[in-house]
Amino acid sequence: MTDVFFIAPGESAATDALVIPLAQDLAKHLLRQINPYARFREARITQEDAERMETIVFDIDVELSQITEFDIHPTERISVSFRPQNDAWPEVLALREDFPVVPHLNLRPVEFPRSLCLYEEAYSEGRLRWTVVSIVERIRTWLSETAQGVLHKDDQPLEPLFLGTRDTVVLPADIYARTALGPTQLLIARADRKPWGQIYIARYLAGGVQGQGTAFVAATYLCPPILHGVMNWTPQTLSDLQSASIAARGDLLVSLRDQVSSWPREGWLLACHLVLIVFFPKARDAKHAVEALETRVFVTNPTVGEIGEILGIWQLNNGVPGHLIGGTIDQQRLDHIALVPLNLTFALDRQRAASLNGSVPDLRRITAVGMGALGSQIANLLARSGYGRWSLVDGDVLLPHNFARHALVHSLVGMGKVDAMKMHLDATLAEPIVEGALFADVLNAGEKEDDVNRVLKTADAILDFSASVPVARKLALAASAQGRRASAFMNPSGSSSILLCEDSQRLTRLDSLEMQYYRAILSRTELADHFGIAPGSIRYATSCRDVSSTLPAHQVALHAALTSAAIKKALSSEGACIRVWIADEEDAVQSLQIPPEAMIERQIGDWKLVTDRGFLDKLNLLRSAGLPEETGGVLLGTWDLVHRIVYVADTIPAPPDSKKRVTSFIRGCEGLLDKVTHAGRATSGMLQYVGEWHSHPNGFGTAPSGDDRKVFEWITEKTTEDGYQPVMTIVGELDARWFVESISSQQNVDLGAAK
Amino acid sequence: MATHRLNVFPLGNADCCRIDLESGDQILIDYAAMRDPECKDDLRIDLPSELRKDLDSRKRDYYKVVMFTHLDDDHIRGASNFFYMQHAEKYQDKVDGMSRIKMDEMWVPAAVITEGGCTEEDRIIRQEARYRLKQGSGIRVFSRPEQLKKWLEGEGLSVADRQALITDAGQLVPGWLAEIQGVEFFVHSPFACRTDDGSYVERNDGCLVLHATFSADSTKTRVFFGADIRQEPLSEIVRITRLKGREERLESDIVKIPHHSSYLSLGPEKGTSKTQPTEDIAYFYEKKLLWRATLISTSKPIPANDDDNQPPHRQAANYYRERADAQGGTYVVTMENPKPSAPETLVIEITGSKAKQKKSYSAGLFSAVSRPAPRAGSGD
Repeated sequence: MTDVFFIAPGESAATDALVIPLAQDLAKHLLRQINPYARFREARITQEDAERMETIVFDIDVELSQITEFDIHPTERISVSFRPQNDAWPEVLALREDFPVVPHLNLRPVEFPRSLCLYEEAYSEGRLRWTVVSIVERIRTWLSETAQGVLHKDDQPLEPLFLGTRDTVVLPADIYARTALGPTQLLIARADRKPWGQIYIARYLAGGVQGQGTAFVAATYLCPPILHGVMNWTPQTLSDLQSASIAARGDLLVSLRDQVSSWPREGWLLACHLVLIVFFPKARDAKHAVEALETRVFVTNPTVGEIGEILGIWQLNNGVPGHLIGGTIDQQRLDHIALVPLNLTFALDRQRAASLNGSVPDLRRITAVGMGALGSQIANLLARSGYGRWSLVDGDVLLPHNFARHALVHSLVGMGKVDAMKMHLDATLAEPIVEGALFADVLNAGEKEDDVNRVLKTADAILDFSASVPVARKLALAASAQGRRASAFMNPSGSSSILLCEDSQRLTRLDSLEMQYYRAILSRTELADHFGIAPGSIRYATSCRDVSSTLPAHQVALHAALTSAAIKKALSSEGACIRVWIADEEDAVQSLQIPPEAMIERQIGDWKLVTDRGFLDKLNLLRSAGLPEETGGVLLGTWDLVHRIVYVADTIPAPPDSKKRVTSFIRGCEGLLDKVTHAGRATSGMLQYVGEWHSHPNGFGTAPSGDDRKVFEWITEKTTEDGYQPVMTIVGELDARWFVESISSQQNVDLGAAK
Repeated sequence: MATHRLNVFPLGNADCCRIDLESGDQILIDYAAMRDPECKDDLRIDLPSELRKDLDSRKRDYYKVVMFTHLDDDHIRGASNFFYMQHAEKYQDKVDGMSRIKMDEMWVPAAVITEGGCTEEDRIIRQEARYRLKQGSGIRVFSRPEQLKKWLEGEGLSVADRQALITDAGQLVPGWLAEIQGVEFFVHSPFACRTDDGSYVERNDGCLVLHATFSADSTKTRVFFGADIRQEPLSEIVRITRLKGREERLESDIVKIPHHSSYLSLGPEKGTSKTQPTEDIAYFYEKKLLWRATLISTSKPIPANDDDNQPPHRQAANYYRERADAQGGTYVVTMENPKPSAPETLVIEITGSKAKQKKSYSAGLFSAVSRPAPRAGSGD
C-alpha cells in the first residue's frame, strides 16, 4: 500500500539556496513544525534559461471520513512552486502517481502530476491578505472537502471542461437554435486587442461574403453528455476532439461530414475558415441529469474546401470541388488540423440579461408615456433586466439641458426623445425590445390620436412617466385600454419619488390612488413638506410634478432605481400600491407604503363622484364619535372639469365653534380658513373645498331635511360663484347619501362595517 | 446531515470519552481528572473545566448516561468532586462555586455493587451505585441477574424487583436503538463465567466492555470500547461472540484499545519488538477492523524503550500500528495527538461517511485571541 510519487519540478536543493521570499517563508514555516499536520520533505530549484522556479515539497495529513467520494489518502505529498515575479498563485501539484481526477484541477498541457485549483479569486485580489503559510491549511481543506465531494458546493456552477485561452469570441445568443436549422454563416471580426487577449465579435451573415479571409463559417456539434470534472485536457487537434466525442459515444466527424456536404459548394463558402462550435452537455455525476451545456469554440486553419477534402466529401480541382464517390477520411491530414480554442461568451439576450439580474424575462407589453429624466432612466434600468416589450410615447425633442439628468447623451441633441430612446434601448441588449416609438403629446395628439389609442390599447401595462397630472388622468380614464396603469414621478424638490399602481383588476384607478396620495400628504408627518421647494430654486413650470430645474442627476438616478424596482414588484402582484420614497439631507431614504383603499365611483347626474372606502370609513368614524349629536365638516377634493368628475378625498372635521345638536348641526368656522388654506398649500393646490357633509342620528336615514336643502342651496351659491358644482354628503347609520350639482341628483353608498 | 461526535480526552494513562449524539444527548464513559494543577508542565487536559466549558455552551448540568467501566483510579479519579451524588449531601454542594453535574443514569458493572474493601473514590462511586439500585432508578447494572441476588436480598429486595435495571452480556442495552437514538450498545463484558463464581473478581476482568453501533444517515459506524479488558477475557469475548454468530458485534471502525496499549491486553508475552496477540485477539484485529479504522490508545506517548514496566508498551503499539496501517487507518495515542508537546482532545466525527478524525489546526491570529496575552505593562 505504499504510495508512489512523481518527482517534483527542479533539482533538490538546500533551503538556504532559496531566494524567492515566499518559498523561503513556506520552507521556514514547515521546518518550524508549527502545524502538526504538515511535514517538510525538500526544497527544489528549477533554472531554465532566465526562468527560475522554486518548489517546496511536503507531506500533509488530510481530515478524512472513512467513506470518501474521491480516493484522497490520509497523507498526501504536495509540491508548491513559486516564480520570482510573484504575479500568480503558486502552482500546487499532488505528487501521488495515482491521484484521482477530481473537480477543481487546473488544466495543464500534461495531465500529471495533477495541479490543484485552490483559489477562486484572482491572485491580484487574493494576495492582499494571503500569506504563504495559509496555503498549507488551504490545501488540507481542499483535499478534505474534495474527498468528501463537497468542495464543489451543490449550488456552484459546474466548472469548464477545457482549458480556456486568452481570446474570446462573442457569439449570437441564439446560435444553438440557428445552427440547428442549417449551415450558419458568421462573420467574425476582431473588436479589440488587449494584453489579456483578443475579443472577436461574431455576427450572422445574410448572403455571400466579400473580402475573404475575415470570414468564418460555423458548424456545430452536440456531444453526448459528459460527466462533470472528468475531462482534464485540452484537445489539440481535430483528431483529439473526435476521440473525445467517441469516448462520449458520439461521432463528431460524421456530424461534420453531414453538415459540410449539405452546404452549397460556392467559392466564398469554400474559402471560409471552419469554426467548430461544440456543445457539451454536463452532468454533476452519473446519478444526476444533464444540468449544464458547455459550449466550446475551436477555430481551424484549413478552409472549408480543404476540410471537405480531408473528410472525403469532395476533391478540389483548382479550388473547385469535384464529385467523389466513396471518399474516406484522410486520417493523416486530420491529425494535423490544429484547433485553436476560443473562450466564448454569448451576446446578452433578454434571457441572459434577466438571469444576470436575478430574474426571469418578462414579455409583458409596456406602453411608457414620457421619456424625460426619470422615465428614460427607469426604462433603461428595466430594459437591462430583460423586462418588457416596450412602446414609447413622448412629444418632446432632446434639448441640451436634458442631458444633465437624462439617460441619453448629448450627441443625440435635437432628436425626438422616443426615437433616441428606442435606438438606445434596442441597442442595450443583443435583441430589440422596443416595438413602437410614437412621437406624440398624449394630451394633444392631433392626427396621432388613433396611434396613441392603439399603443394604449395593446398594452398590458401603461406606465406614466410624464410628470403631468392631466396626462395621468387622461391615461387613467382612457376607456379603450385595459392594461394596468402606474405613475412614477418626483415631487418638486426632487427629494421624493412616488409610485402609484393600480390593482390588476383595475378596481381602484390611478386617479383614485392620486387622491389617496393627497390625503396621505395631509395626515403623514413625513410628508408635511412634500410639495415644498428649496428656497432659491427655479421651477420652470408650476405643476405639482414638475421638478425644480436645479436637481442633481444622482438624485434622479436614485429615484429611478427605487421606482423601477418597485414597478416590477407592483406589476407582479395583484394589489394596488401607493409608495413614496423620501431621501433626506443625509442621503438616507425612507420608504412609505400607504395602504390603498378601494375606489368608490358613482354617476350622479352629469357628474361622476370618485371617492374611496378609506374616506367613507373616516366619515363614519367621525359620525359615530359624535353620537348622539350630529356632526359634520367640509369636504376636500377637486373637480376635473374635462372629465366631469368630482373627487372627494378628505375632510376637515367640525370646527370648535360648530353647534352640534341631536337633531341639527351648524358647522362653525373657527380656524377653518387656515385649515383649508393649509390643505391647499400642502397638496400644491390639488385638494380644495368642494362642499359640506353632516351626519344624521341613528334611525333617521339620509334623506335631506328642509334644513339640509337650505344648506345645499348655500353650498351651491358659494361653489357656483367660482364656477364649480356643489357637493354635499349626509352620513347616516347605514349609508352616505351624496348630492352633486342639485339636491335631486343623488346616490347612496353603503357604509359597510366601520373599521 | 446527522453528526455524532466522540471526544477522547488526553489524560495520560487514563480514560474519559464523551459521546455527543446528534439528538443532543451526551454520554460519558469514565471520568478521570488526572491533571495536577500545581504542575505547569502537566500536558494532560484539565478535564472538569473542559467538560464544563461544553456543558455551559449547552446550558445544561447533566449527562444522559455516565458509565464507570470499573473502579480503578484512572477511570474514576475526582468523580466525587464533579458529579452530584444522590446518596450523600456531602456530594451535592457546589464545587468552587459551580453546581455539580448530574448523572441521569449511571452504568456500572456488577462488581461496582458487590465489591468489598473500597476505601476512597471507589467507595463513593460504589455507595452511589448501591443507593441508586436500592432506590430502583437512575442506574443500570451489567451482569447476570443472579450475581446480584445475594446483595439484593441483603437489602431486602429480590432480583425480580430490579430485573429491569440489569443487563447481561450478549444483550443490547434497553432503550437504545441505532436507528432511533443514533446509537445502540451491545454488552460484551462482564460476562457470566467471570462474575459467576462470587469470589474475588479482578476488576479489569469484570469491567464494562461495550460495542457501540452508531447510525448517521442510515450508515453504521461501529466502535469497540475496550475499557481495561485483559487478554484472557478479551479472547473469551471474541470466542463467545463468534460462537453465538454475532460477528457484526466485533466489527469495528474505531477501537478504544484496552488498558492504554498494555501488552497484557494482547497476549501473555510482551515480545521483543512486537507483541504476539492470542489467536482470538488476532482474529479481532486482523479480520474485524474495517477500512480506515482508528485505533485509539488512551495513554502516554509510546516510549522508545522498555524502562517503564507500565503501559503503554512499544511492542503492543507496534502491533496496533501495523494493524491500523493494514486497513489504511490510524493508531492514535491521546497524549501524542496531534503532537506530544501539545496534546489536544481527539475529536472524531461520525456522519453518513462514517468516522472522521478532526485535524483542525489553529495558530497565529486564532490562537492569539483564544488564550490570554502575556503580561504587559511598565511593571518592575
